Amino acid sequence: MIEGNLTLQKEGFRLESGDFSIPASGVTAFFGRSGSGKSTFLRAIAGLEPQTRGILRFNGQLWQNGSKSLAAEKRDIGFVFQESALFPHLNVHENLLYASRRSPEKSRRRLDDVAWKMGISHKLDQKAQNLSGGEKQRVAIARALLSQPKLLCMDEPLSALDWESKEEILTLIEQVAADSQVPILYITHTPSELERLAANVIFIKEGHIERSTLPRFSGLRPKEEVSESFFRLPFKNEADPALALDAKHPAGKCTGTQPSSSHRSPCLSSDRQSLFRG
Amino acid sequence: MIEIFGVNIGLGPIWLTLKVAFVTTSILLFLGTPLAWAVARMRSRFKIFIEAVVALPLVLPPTVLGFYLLIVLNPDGLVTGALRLFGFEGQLTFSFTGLVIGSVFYSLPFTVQPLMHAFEAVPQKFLDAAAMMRASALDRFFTVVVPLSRQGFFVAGTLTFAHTVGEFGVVLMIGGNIPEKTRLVSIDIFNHVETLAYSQAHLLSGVMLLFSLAVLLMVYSFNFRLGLKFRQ
Repeated sequence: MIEGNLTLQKEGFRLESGDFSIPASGVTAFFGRSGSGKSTFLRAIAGLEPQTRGILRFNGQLWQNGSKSLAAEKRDIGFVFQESALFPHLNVHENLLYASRRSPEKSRRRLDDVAWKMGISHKLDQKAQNLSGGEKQRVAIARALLSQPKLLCMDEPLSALDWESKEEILTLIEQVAADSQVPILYITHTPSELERLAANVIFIKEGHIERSTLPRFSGLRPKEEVSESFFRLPFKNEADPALALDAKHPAGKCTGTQPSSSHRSPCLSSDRQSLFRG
Repeated sequence: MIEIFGVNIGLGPIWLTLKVAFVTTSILLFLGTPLAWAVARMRSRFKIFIEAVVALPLVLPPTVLGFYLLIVLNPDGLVTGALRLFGFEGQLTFSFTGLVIGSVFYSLPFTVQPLMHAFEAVPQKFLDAAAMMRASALDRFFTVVVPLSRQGFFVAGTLTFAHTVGEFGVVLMIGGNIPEKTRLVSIDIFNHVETLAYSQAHLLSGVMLLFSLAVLLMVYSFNFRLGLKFRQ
């Protein structure tokens, strides 16, 4: 469980999260408009904002207490940034090694394994700046996984990508979510990403948590409330409960028959699944 | 003493100048790097004050700086007295040590300013990414900041060296004009002109001119090439 109450004053913006409690499992999406404070909140949780105050616990471990905080590098978090943030002075392999060398398990085999799963094995010798947007995010995700985090944070990892890469990387993130046991905090302002990935949603507005729904589509909640919780965004498949339910299913339960071009489908073709699960 | 174009030139001042410049550059890179990093990361108003103090030698007459250094470092002063407690013998003024101390103050902005600008240009996202991969602050500095600031280190090192070679006022005030001990090339030129030995003055001045031009060409061509590389 990630729980606490954080405040942060930064360049005219004030974050006052209010009490929150996020399950440390599955994908939790931070949803809200641009400028609502999603990124700031996630960075505060990660320990990247030195001005953060309040209290924060991760699975019982105290990360923030008043102005005292555990250094970001000691929180065992993997972070995928909006613009990948790959080191320009290192090639892809060295970027991965940077994470791998500082992780608890430093095996070469694991690095090769993750690179293969992320589909970047043939790019290892390239400079980071020569990669396409989609490839950069693949490396960034691989790097985050290689540091063997206890919590994975993703700050709008698709926002800088073109449509086709978005679909590829979203599928990849679904695989990661299904495959690894690590809880994921995922920032988005795109309803389709939210729908495909998130089991829990935290709604953020003007620097505070407006509400959280957990778990989504559990059947315990009237359908109206779920659709309202999406700020009445025009979801085409709201009218189709079967499809909505389908969207919540982990990738592994899909039959692999849906066309992969459908951006609503969480399903992976069966061969790609087995490739990832390798 | 060697003979170039029929003119006899003493090598002592040239050798001493290079030695002072080398030692000064090493000390300044060692001390200037943490200072530049601290100032680059500083967010308080105090930053403006430190920046102004670091830039002082750029506008202050060298004689003023030299005068204050003479006062502070004089053999009966506090600094020398304190050093004597630790077994220091001799004096800080009119010696090689004095020349280096004076040069360190005089060339400080030429080390700190390029480094500071290079550090400020390192995007925060790379430091955040490194922290998220368990790199400590020192680790981040050496594995992310230093490699991404290579250009800054190169420019700082070359400009500091060249500027130290070219100083006159401060070293004359604190080092004097003692042959083989504190007489640097710039002071040697002054002596030659005073004694109307124009051919020696011509030769040494020509060497200094070519050296300074070569250093600046090197710095600017490096910046130019780097600009092209980033534009691609």
